[in-house]
Amino acid sequence: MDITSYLKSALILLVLIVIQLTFLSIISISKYNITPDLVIIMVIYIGYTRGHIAGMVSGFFAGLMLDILSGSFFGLAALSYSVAGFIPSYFSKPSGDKSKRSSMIGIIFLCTLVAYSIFFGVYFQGSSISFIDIFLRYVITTTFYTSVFGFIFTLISNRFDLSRSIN
Amino acid sequence: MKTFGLFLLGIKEYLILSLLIVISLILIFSNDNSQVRFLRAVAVGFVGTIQSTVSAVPNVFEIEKENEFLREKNIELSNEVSALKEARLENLRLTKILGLKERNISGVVIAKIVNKSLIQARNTITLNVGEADSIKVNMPVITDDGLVGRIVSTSSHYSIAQILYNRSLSISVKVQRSRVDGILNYDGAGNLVITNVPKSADVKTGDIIITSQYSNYFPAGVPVGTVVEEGNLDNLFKKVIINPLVVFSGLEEVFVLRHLPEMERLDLETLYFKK
Repeated sequence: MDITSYLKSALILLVLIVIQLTFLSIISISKYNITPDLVIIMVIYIGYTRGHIAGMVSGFFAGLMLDILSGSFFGLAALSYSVAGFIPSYFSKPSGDKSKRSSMIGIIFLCTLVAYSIFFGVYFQGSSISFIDIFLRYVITTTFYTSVFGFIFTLISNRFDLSRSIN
Repeated sequence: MKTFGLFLLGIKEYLILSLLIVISLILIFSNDNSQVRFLRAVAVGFVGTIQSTVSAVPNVFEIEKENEFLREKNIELSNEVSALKEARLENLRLTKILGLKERNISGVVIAKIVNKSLIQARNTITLNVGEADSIKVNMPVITDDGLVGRIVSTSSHYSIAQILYNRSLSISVKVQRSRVDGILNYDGAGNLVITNVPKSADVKTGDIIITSQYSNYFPAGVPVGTVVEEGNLDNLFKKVIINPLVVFSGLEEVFVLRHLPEMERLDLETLYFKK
């Protein structure tokens, strides 16, 4: 994998970060403004296709960018996205495996669940909301909403063989 | 050494993960740094500019809910406007009350006149407030227009007040404009007369009469009436007739001021005049 490939991934992540912070509020749901996380889908995809290191490094920097641009808890998204980028590689299967694509949604669901459990668990520290409430109101809703978009992403990925175009 | 190197290479993913976690935690714990605050301020400003542009695009999921909310709010506000219209007259009266409160240093007790006893020159009114409402003898009674009289008797829930048209009531007053002092009494013939006004005193028709600071029973500056007639009583004094500001015929509500005479001063003056 050459430098161009890394730049491509970085550029895609950057575009997704801008979309995430500017347009995604349009499709927010519930009174807690839950939005799908397009950036984490991409991070998970990178981790799944390129391994632990690529996944967690891209997750770290994408999270850091989100932290800076969103003005929220600095370093927290970097932490949770790093973890989200690290996990998918455990489920990687040889290229061309038919079951690979169908399992992608499950991986997105699991990684998002872990990442957002860390994120919101720390984010709401010191508040009166219990972790169960946080989990039901924020973690699980964001995970499901992201998984829906993950499904769309998987369909697109299957159709256009995204891993090849990135590489 | 080579084996250790190979071991580290084997766990490089975990080492990098640990490193990233440590960096993240350092960043998290450095959230109050001025550099971080500056960076964040710049970032928030940047994102805010973009978001304000994008905010013109409505949230497709929320728009119906928002419409519903606005409709409910509209009905709610309509009801509120209706209620406000209903309360308008009451508000006007309360505004007057508030204005009155601002003029007085003492607290007030709102009272209804439950009876008017108009017997010759001993005109009194009975109020529906008494000792249970902290009403005491000698407290002044007023309205938003001016002075009414003074409490002379109290029970648990009622009190009796002398009004200006009572011969027993003498009030130290002064002309607001010229600061000329005098004593206001009811002459028993339908007139409120100010006595002890020197012939040379500057008193004109239309002058406003207020309570004087010499009065121990009434706070200074409470409006009492306007001069309607002034003439010579004798060679030394003037006879000044005033019209009260309070219209007693239509009086239904009054306010009792929680203002009591200074007993020390009263005792001293009484003692002196007894000598």
